[in-house]
Amino acid sequence: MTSESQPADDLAPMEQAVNAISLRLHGIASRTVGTLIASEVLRLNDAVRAGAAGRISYSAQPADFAALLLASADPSNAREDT
Amino acid sequence: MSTAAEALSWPIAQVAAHLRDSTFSCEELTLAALERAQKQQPILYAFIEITAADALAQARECDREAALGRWRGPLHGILLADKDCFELEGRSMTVGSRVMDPQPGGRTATALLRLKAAGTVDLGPLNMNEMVAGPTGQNPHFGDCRNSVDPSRISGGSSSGSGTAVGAGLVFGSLGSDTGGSIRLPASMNGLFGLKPTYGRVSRSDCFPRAISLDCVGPLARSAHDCALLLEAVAGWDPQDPSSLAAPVPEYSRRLERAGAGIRIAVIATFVDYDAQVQEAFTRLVAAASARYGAAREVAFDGLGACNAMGDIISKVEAATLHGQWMRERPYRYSQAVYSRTEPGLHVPAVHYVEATTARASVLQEFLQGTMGKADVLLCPTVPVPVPTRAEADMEGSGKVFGVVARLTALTRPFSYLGLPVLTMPTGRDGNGMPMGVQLIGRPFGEARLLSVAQALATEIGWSA
Repeated sequence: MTSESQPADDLAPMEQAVNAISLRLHGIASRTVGTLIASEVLRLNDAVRAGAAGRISYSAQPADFAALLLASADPSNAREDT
Repeated sequence: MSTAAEALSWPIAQVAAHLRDSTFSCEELTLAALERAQKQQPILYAFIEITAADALAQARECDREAALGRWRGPLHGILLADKDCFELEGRSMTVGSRVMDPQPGGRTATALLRLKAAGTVDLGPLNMNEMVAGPTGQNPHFGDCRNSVDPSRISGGSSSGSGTAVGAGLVFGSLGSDTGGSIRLPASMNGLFGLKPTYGRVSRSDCFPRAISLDCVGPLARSAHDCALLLEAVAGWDPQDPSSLAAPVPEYSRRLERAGAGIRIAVIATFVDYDAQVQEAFTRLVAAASARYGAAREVAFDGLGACNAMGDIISKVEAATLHGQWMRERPYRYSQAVYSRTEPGLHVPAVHYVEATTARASVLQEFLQGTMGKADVLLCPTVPVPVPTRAEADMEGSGKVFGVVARLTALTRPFSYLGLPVLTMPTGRDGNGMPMGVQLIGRPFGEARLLSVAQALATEIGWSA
């Protein structure tokens, strides 16, 4: 069981950055091999950036999600059987 | 074996009927369960603590009420236990962790209050992955929870004790919580039915979170009918949980026969590699479903990977927010795995967290209109690999945690991001005798349909616990 890996030349600067940010911005010391955190941060960063592309509009807000769940309710949940 | 001891493996409705006709008392049932739980505890580590005296007191109260003719409903006198992330007044909640100093709970979680009102008996807090984080049941603080079928294999997590205790017949059902698969994985790995309800369906008040934007509370049990009974007891809007949703709560157990009628099913093309045995069992299940509901066509879900990552980023950032102060002040009270998994949440750009939460409705809308546009229930395996041994899935080893989590949650986390109800049910056993599972994915608040389909398919494939 292995995780996806990032190109090595991408990891070194990111490893330095996360180590610095961890202590300076959060006051938290890392307990993990730096390249693993860097790799995970890059993986999430790239996947979410790509996934969100074209989906952020001025009228969108997080609360739309719960409203859509209610609006799209399955008919089997109605008070009377359908 | 006494009748009460035999009854520990029965369906809830059958046990309830025998409690009513006084075949055995709730106290006798509880004594039998306690004896079995205490015997199994050094083997399975299913409980954080078996609260025998409290359980017996609750059982005697159930018997007293019954003697007066007061039956609270179908769960009166039914033995349960719940993941130790639900606060209970007077009891110290561990969340499977040593990070917080023990102190008696000041409140009781709404879900527990609702179960109590339904007349259930609580055998004690169940083991879990530390801080609601981890798909394996591994816990260096309270002992690794073991699989009820084969203790050399993982229980699944993070609701590990919730799966093992039910699978081993120590209780009839349990509550777990699910952020990225934490109900579905232990249910699947222990041969159970486990339901992650629609986001907002069940209150999370006073339930310790991993990520409040994703967490769902739901039941694990040995049949769809048992799950239905538990869900109808706990579901519904709760003023104590501002993100619970005010949708009607049907009597799920009464809709089991009809809610699946006339549905359209489809198989999700995930592009994830399945182990050959998982694929074979899944194919058999799909054939049974097709015979009953009509041919299951395959539908694409191109956004699976993106939904996985968006769920992951929300989980990690919200967890890092919650744990930051403790990570700063008492870092070595965390296991290596949980600390490592939480660290990336400190570093991903805030913009991407907001993107993941803001785009969520748009992604869900696309899924409902596209992938789910011509289907009421979608099918895909719960775990792409057979249940690993504890050694194979050790997350404490250097650098192992991210790979283990990614592999086990590849098919569960995307649907947490979508907030949809997902029920896992058994599909069969692999060559080692270990259970495998399938996910039934429904439309928002489609729990009644999922329970109905699961009950029908269990009969079709001849599954018995």
